[in-house]
Amino acid sequence: MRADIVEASEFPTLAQQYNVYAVPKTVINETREVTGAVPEPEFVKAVADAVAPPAPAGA
Amino acid sequence: MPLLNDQDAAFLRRRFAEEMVHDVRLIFFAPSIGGLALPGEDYEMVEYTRRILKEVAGLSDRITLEEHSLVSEPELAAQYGIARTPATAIVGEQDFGVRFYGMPAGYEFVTLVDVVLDTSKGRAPVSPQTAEALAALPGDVHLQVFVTPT
Repeated sequence: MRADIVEASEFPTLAQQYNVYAVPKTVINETREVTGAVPEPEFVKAVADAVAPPAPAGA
Repeated sequence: MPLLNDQDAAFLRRRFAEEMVHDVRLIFFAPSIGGLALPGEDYEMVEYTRRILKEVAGLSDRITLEEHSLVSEPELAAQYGIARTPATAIVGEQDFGVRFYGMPAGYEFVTLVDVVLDTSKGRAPVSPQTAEALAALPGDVHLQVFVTPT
């Protein structure tokens, strides 16, 4: 696991690339994002979904 | 003049003394080193970051600051996965993969202190359920947490 803490105003290009309009915003593996502070289980779910996306319904 | 007042410095010195387990290295990468600014570099911001890290390192014998240059030490930077500056790798007994990009000022100074303490202890303050769920993940995780100093 890697965790980058990025000061958004100092890296505007990166912040723009990930559409950061509010902080904190966490981008997980480029595919998922979590905005704001969320309860820990919700964050863990987002991480798990980013690593192994849930199978589409009916699959 | 120091950035931290005497009271805050004393408080942090005590916290580090009481809570730190393993030594922590603050591995700082500036674009350039030795007072030479590169075009497009915000020299003041880099300097301010360096000063913050230096003061933190001065608060405990267990914390050391290592200063490097992305320009003159690209291999070392790549080893830590660092491609932009100013960047700080916070490394304890192990490298847990935590990097700080930009200035750890304002509220983010608290984040820096927390990261130093967690890295020193070698564990994150998460619930046992979270630790278990993360350990069971089949793939790698890259978190990019965007913050502002306030």
